[in-house]
Amino acid sequence: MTWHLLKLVWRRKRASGLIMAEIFLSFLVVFVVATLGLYFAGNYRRPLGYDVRGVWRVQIEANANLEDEAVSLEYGRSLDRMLREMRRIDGVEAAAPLRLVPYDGNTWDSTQDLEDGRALSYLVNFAGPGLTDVLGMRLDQGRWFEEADGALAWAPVVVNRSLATEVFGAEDPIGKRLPIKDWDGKEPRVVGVIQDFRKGGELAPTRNYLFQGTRLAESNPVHPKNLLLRVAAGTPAIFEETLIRRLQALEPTWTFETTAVEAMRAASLREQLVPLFVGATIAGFLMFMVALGLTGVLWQNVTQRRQEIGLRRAVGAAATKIHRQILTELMLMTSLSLGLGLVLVLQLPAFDLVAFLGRGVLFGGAATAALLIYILSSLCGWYPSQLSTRIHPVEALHYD
Amino acid sequence: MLRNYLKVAVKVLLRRKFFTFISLVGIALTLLVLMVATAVADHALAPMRPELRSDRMLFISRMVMRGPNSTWSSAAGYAFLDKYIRTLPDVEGVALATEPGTAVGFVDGVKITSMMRRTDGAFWQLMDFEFVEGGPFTADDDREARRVAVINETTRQRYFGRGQALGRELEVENQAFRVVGVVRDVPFSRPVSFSDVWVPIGTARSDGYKREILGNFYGIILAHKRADLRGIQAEVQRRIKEVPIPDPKEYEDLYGGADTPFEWVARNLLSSRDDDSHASWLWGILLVAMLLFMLLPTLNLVNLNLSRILERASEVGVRKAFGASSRTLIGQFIVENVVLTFVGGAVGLILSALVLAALNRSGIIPYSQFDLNLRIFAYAVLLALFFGVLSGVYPAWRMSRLHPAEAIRGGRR
Repeated sequence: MTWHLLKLVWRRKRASGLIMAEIFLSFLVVFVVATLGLYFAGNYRRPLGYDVRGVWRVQIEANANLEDEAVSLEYGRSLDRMLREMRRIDGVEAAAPLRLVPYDGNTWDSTQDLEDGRALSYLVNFAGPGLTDVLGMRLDQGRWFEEADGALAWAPVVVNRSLATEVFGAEDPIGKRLPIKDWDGKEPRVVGVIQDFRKGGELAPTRNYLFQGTRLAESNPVHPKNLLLRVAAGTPAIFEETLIRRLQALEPTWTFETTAVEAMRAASLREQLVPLFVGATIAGFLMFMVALGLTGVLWQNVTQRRQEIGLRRAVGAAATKIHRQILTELMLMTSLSLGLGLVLVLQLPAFDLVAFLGRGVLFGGAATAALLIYILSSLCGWYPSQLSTRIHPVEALHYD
Repeated sequence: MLRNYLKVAVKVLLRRKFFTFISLVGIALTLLVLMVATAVADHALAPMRPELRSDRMLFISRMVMRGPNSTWSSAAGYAFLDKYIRTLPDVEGVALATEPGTAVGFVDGVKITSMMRRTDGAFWQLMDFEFVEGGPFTADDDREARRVAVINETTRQRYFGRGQALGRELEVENQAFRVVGVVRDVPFSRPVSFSDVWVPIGTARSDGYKREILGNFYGIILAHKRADLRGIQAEVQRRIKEVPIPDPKEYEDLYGGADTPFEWVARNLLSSRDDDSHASWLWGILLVAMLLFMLLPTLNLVNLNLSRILERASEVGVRKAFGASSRTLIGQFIVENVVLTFVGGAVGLILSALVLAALNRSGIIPYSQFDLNLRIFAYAVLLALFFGVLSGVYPAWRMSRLHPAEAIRGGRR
């Protein structure tokens, strides 16, 4: 039966080909949307690693050349004074320096050769003592940076679970040397492991993450440019003005900008979601259009095949059989185009460009898209095939 | 002849209302998306206030310094623009303005965040701002570092409520400025002129910017006439190569260029790393994106059109039997299809006006005033025509190939 129907499809290959091309393209459109949707939904469910409620960021523009040792030293001391000053303000619960703030859109990538020859790629950030209190971060193992770290002869680092597993496997990473090049003659040693720190926010993927301890008492070209503070719930809005005025009093020539990190979160989510929504809406438009078009084409098809169908009815085919024939033909065409689409999509994991999505997401997206297209085409075929069962044999054979 | 075609077209469209309807929905939605995109692009690129003369303007923004290990890209620096661009011969004017940055002020303890940019006096000569109060500040104000500011209407409302702002004091970033002018809001999509507050460059807290080759400045060049643009671009290019590199250990070469508005967008969007703005790349990308987007709707319409061929087979047969050539028939069917796309395009145009109004209200793009104008209407007509021909050619060709004898009988299966 299937073989026979395939022959029918082949007989009308031009018309069938165009319909199949349309279904194929629809599959690709739905696939892109479904894959991105799955990817972001998957990220959203992972632990974020911090909590920005009540957290404010003070961004500092000092116009200082931190490469200059004396300037850098003075800059660090100023930051330290500011942190102390902040903690004295009513309502401030905790304050800490941080180089790159969650949701700020900046990333610092690094790739280092491990001693065993593997390349380790990770995201870097620089933070000081107290950040765990500001951002409500929890350590899986070990400890966070402390004020006393300044006296150490080595460089303390805190890494996330993913980095610890990649480098140390099942071994306990605490106290171990991170097997990469020394930093300014100091060997990096792991003092703590956090579950994760997805700086990009809820929609960002998990990447290897590494915090370097910031020592404000030393000169450093990468001193933080942000101070984070957590404010008690119910602190009046005037607090912000007080904060800026008191910081400005310490450094009259610097510029300070305060932002609620929650506002940055909203802006960052909007920035990522708006294009996705626009894309999904356009894809929705396209699918709506395709559904209407396909219905029309199939309808017209059935009317054109009155004689053929009438003949089948006349020689005894039941209405349900006709119904099934029309639907099966459509499903055959759908399956053929989906098959082509799937073959194409299965090649994707070989491309670096989309490797970040992962096999699971790509295949999940393909499966979802295939399912949706089957549903779409059966919906489109339902009415026209119903129509075909109403064709009366006598009337159909009379048609000239 | 054409009138007959049109008559037939309308008759055919009215005969099968369901098919006409689904074709129209498809066409209208497709053209809607393209028209909204066109309107947004037009809003950002076409000459309009305050960049009324932008067709004679060149902009210097993103510059790149490159060495064997390091790449540094940012907007141009004051030192470079001051020494190499302000001195350009045979131009009507050169203006400097910083990138907009956030500026915070407080009114009764409530924080107000505005965008602020620092400009020179020439900026106000080159741009055609619409002042509702007062006027611009001058080159003298900039030189003397006078604390004066021009603000937009929204900022006036935020700081001073309904009252006049002229001569009043505005405190932003802990600096006090005297308001000398109020202008109409400038949409965010005009990145060279957009801001809430404009103040003289000289009022910057430190003068570190005066030594920067790369910094946060835009250079704006106004040419006497459009024909001069190419020559000025070449001259800027030549001058960029003369700039001594400030840190020769790290960096070897400086790249950049003076761009037309479209090239400006291309350079920034495609993060150009050399002298070329890659504008032709952007054209290519836009064209391919448009074609890819139109592919599915076109296929849809082709399918619909094809499935209706046989419905009209006897008509085609009769016309062929009476000697109509294939070319005439193809012409007729394309005309019919174009009529259909124009009707769909009209619907799309009305819908896009609604979408644009909704975009303006949503505030996704600050101060946006998207609307449809004659230019966008012309683009819409072109788009509809293109879409109509694209989706009509194949079905028309198939139709014209019907064999007259068979066609009269109702067509070959």
